[in-house]
Amino acid sequence: MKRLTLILAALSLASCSRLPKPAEMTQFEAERKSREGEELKLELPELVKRADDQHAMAVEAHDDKEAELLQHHAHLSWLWWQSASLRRQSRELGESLELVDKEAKQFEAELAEAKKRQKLAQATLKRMEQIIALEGKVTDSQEVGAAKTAIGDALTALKDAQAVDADVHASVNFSAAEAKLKAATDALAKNRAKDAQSFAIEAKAAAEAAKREAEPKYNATEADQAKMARQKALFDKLGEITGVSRQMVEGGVQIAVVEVFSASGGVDMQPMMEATFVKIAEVGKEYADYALVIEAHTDSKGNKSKNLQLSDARSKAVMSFLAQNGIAPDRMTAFGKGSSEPVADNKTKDGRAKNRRIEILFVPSSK
Amino acid sequence: MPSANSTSTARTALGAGLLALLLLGPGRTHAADDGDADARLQKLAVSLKEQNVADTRHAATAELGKAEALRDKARTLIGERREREALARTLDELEGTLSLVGAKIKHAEAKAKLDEAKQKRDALKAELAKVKADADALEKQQAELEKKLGGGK
Repeated sequence: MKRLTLILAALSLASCSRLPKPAEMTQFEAERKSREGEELKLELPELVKRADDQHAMAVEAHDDKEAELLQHHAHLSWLWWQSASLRRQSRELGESLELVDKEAKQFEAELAEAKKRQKLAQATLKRMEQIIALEGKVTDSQEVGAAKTAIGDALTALKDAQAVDADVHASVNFSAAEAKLKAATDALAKNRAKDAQSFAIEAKAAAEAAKREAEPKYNATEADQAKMARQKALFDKLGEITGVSRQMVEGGVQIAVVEVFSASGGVDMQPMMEATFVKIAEVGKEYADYALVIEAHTDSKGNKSKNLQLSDARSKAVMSFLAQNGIAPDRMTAFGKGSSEPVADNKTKDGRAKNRRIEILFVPSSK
Repeated sequence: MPSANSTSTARTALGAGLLALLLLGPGRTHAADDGDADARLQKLAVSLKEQNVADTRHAATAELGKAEALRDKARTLIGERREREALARTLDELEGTLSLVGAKIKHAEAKAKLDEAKQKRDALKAELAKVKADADALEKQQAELEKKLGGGK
């Protein structure tokens, strides 16, 4: 009898003891609770919902001590969660790729500049060496001295012209200057000092003409490069803001923020989104030479004209928020685009979430 | 204790169920279930085939093997009426596994692209350092010659 009681007690204890949670379930719970987990939910709501649903079933199976079901649902929950995590990592890799590409472009530009310096120095040295080779070959006289000075002047003029890419932007005049300089050194080598001086003067004139012709084109290119460098810095700065996707577009940098507003049909910003827009305003203040074009977009649900009105009100709400955070209103314009410019499939929940967005284009101000 | 209301609801549901059974016949709903499962399996099998082709970097070989085993298991279970629950679970797992396969393939592609871009960037950086050094040396040499010539302006 005593043995029977003991067996029954053991059985009862066994039935009361909880099933251990599978490792996948424990890991999911830890990752899901984290800040990254919450962000992942905002980014990939459908996949995370599937993971959550499976996890809820796993919890139920755990409570009911259904070992097989627990294993099954915990595994499925983990599969969906991993799938979402990897997709997010892929997006982050894509963002890193954009940055690396930009860095590579920057290096390319610097390399082009360095190659230009190298080419200029090589060409100047070659010309100088030709003149130095004449030392000792020609008899010194007043005429030779004058020719040498004229050649020196032409050499300097050619160097100045090449420094503004006259060999590229004013190739005819530049080639003429080079040919005249060679004629001058050849003439001097044959002790024809007067001819040498005359050729050198013509070389200088052609080089100066080449410089005048090339300078405006060269300066325009320089200005473009400076503009691009500033734009790249703005792009990098905007990349530091969480929840903002960005791209370089023709004319500026465009950012997009999804799911900004609290309620469907509302114009109140979600509290957690305010921090994002405060940061955007900070960048906007730092880049005061840029104007901001704000566009609000909706998904395709509901009436088109109502969506247009709603998007317009939302764009104005964002503009007002940025103004309150220090951006001068005259730097901003705001438009509602309704559902007319979707970026994703409106048939899916995920696609609709992507379409409900605020886009801000930072464009160099003409003021 | 069930309330009068819930008892009456239960009776109505039971009546509706019996009526449906009489009207549709007992095999009809099972057949519909089988059709759904069949269509789902077909769709997932097509997706599996596509993922197999897409995995050129062999980023999800293990998962693809698992998915193939799940597909074969589902094919075995599809004719077994008693195994509906097991079939549904197998299809769920196959769907989840294929989602992971897709994510792994995408991830591997993104990583390969990034690695390639990094290599290109690093090569440019190294070339830049070399050309800059060469240009510096040439400019130094030029300055020395200018002194020797009496100075370019």
